[in-house]
Amino acid sequence: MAAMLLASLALGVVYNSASPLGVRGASGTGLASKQHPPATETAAGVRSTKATEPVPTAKPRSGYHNQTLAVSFNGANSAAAKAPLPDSHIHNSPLPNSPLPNAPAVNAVAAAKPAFAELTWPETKALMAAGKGVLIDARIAANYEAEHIPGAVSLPANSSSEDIAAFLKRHPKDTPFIIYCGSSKCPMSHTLAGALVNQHGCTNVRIMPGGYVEYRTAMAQEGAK
Amino acid sequence: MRVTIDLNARSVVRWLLGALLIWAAVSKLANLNEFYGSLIGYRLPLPDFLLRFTAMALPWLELLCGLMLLARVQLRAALVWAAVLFAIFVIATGQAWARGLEISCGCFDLSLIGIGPESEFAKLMKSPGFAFVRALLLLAGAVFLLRHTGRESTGDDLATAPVGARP
Repeated sequence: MAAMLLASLALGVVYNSASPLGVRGASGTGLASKQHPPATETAAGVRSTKATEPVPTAKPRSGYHNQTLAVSFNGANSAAAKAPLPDSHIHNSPLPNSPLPNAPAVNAVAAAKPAFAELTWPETKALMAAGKGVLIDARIAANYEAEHIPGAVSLPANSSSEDIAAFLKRHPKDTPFIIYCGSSKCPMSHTLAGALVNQHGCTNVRIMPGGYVEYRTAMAQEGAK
Repeated sequence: MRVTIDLNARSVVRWLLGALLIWAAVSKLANLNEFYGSLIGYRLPLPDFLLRFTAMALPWLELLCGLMLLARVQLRAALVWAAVLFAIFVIATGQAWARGLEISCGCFDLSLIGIGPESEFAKLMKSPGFAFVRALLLLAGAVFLLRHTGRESTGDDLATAPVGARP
């Protein structure tokens, strides 16, 4: 029995080191330390943290939190950020103009699954570097706390309408939002995008369908070069 | 060559537990980071390094248990570990359910069997309450098999011995 436990631990550590989707972060068991930039001070005085620094998990959270707001997003409210994104970044058809009825649950919107404009990670990365978007992590808060794309802010897809409204007080509705979740299998980015557009009137919402998996895979490939 | 399949309650339970453990392991290994996030979601009073090691090692323990159950290798050890794992799942999902945490249990990747994550069935499967009941049933299955497995068992007794005949 002890052998099984030891074998599992050994296999787990080896596999975790090799997997692009392994557990990374503060304990320094993987690539994280060479993937993310160190902490910086923003122009607006908002503290940016090292991207992989875990947010304390002791107190329960609900709704959004943006402790890791990064430098690249400080221009999100500027005129440049509000400008439409280049069409070359759009793969799918634009957002439909027919809002759904005022259903209280976000899931009702998800069922409709409107075709949102989609971005790949390299395209998202370029927009972030140019300060032309706010990257939103739509996964549950625990996943965001575990790890997230540097600079992303957390707005879980299961957030209440009040939480989303509070988020939009900090980000105007015409801000270019780019939403991601776990991977192409996860529906949360579409769920949140539907809520932002159909229930809160946001006008510039896009999806990064590859999600965190695409980002981590890209980082692993960059690290291997 | 003649292959005989002896179907009885213990064989069915053993195959079921083995298959479920392998499914759970593969689901977690596909994205360890998501699983780690799910563990954090349970808000257990455990240090972070323990959660990290759990995220790394637990899927492999599940996989080893599942394979050993199916192959009938070191059956008793596999069953003991399976029972321990299921007992831990009962505690973790039970406390999450009791506290009303709205989390995904992080147990199975339903897309592996073609079920979309937004379906009502998927939401039910991932809810802490359902996961708690499921873990209880799995624990009962593991204990049931343990009661009919000898200390040095290779698993043959599970296939042939009558129910209640404890070696």
